[in-house]
Amino acid sequence: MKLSPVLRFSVLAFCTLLLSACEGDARDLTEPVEAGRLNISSLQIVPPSAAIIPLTVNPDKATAFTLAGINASGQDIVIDAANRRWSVSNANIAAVNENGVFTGLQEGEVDVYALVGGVSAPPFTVDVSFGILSDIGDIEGNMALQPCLAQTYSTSGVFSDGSRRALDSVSWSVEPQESGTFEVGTESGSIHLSGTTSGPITLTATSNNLSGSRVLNIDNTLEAISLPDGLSLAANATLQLAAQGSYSASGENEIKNITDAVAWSITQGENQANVGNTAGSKGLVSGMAEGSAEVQANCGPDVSARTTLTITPAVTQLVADGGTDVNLSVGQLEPLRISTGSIYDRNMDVTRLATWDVVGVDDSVVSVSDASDTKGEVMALARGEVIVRATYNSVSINFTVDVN
Amino acid sequence: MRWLLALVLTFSSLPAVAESQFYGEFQLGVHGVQHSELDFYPGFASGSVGMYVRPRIGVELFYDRATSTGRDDDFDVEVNEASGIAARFESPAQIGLQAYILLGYVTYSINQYENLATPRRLAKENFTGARISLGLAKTLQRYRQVQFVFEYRNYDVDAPLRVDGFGLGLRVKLQ
Repeated sequence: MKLSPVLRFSVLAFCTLLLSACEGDARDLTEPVEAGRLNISSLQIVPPSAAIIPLTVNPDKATAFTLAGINASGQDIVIDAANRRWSVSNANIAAVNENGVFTGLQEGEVDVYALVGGVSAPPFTVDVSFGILSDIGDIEGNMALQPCLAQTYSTSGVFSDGSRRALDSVSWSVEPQESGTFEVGTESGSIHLSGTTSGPITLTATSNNLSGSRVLNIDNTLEAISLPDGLSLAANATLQLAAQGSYSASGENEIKNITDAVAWSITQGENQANVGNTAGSKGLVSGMAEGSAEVQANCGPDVSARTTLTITPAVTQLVADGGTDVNLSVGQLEPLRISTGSIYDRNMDVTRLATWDVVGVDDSVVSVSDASDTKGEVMALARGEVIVRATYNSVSINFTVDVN
Repeated sequence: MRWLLALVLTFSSLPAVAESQFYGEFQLGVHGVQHSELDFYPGFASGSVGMYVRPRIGVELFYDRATSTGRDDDFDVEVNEASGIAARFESPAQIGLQAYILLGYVTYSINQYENLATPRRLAKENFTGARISLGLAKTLQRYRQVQFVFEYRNYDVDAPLRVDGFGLGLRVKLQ
């Protein structure tokens, strides 16, 4: 079939239209549903964490806003800031994209708006102003520190236009170094500082070759550290120790958990156990071989505590008190008990240390408690047979529970 | 603008057709609108007029209008209006049955009513894009100029929105 030139051109035009992108914004339809499900009653534009209000930014500097919401019950709700209707009051001064990333274009004051499903956020004002860092602002936080109790310190930048702004990168140091340890905080320009040795220390913040310092004092209020004693663990097990600090301030005594701030070490029996001393593993003892090990927790050179752990043979099997076949009647509550070893031994009971669950997805026959004070308690709910599992140190034992 | 361009280009081809045959069609159907894990099935009535510019190749204008809203959760949705232009390509007739495909460009609006809002809140959004329809047409034995049609249509729209529909109708060919 031969098509005329005009007809061919028409077909081509149709093809062009068909291949062209569709237009339309489905958010008008999807957002009201989302807003209804979240029950949003109010919406708020949130500047970057650590941002100093009023917010001042340089032209061309990108700033990511997020959204926070409150539902009709007054609870905070999470609202994704991406793919929303963001806008600014003056497009000559700044632009904001659909993900809430704001970019200043020229100097001036501009309001940022956001709309989600018919709920609008109050405008957030941004001052777009060119400035260069001229000084490090004051270091803010408590003047006095208690040993091994972390406190947060932060600083900001003073800019040439007179504005105060959060700093993108700040390096911190403490003098004397052995008097304190710190980790960078979650907010830009902040740290969590723990002092160890009583006396004055100097905390310094540095950014762009500019520095600001502040002298702090570590009080001599930590009187003692206590660790639990009489503990044992298997050679292939782990045990989390907690260090309690006894503080005396203004004539009052206070006990505080300082597990994450003290330094942990093995002073005897390094072949029998080791102990974590990094963030996330502080005080976590791992048994390695049968014997004993002495664990020390210290806050600086002056205050420390030690405890001795008995490392028992590795757990290779678990045994049930009364066997693993359990017959119950509907409504009956039965505590299950397990111990390490080849026969049940009350002294080696690990019922409260094990993890309990029902094997499979059917939880209608029995429920088993894994709560700390009722671990291993099985409640018969309906007729049937299920497997209840207890796991301790990666070793499991199965109970066959028959409910009549 | 693209719509207008297509219209001009299409109808500029009409003089090239020596023996044009006009047709008109009327359909009743149900749109399917899906988003946010909600499914709406609003009704529509559709009318179109067109002409064959070649054997089994036609060009037509169409207009749809909502006849009812679809409800899910606390929302009512309707494809309020749709209009556009389409090219029709038909298969040869076999025992009075023809398959066809419509390649169209459509502009349409979707209304969504939030029933629990006080006052009842309306969200209205306009869309444009391609619409592709697949259908079967059965020529009636008694009235050879009349065809019974069954059609599925799908609108090109970005996720998470999905719009399609089914329609039943009659097409009348006019010499």
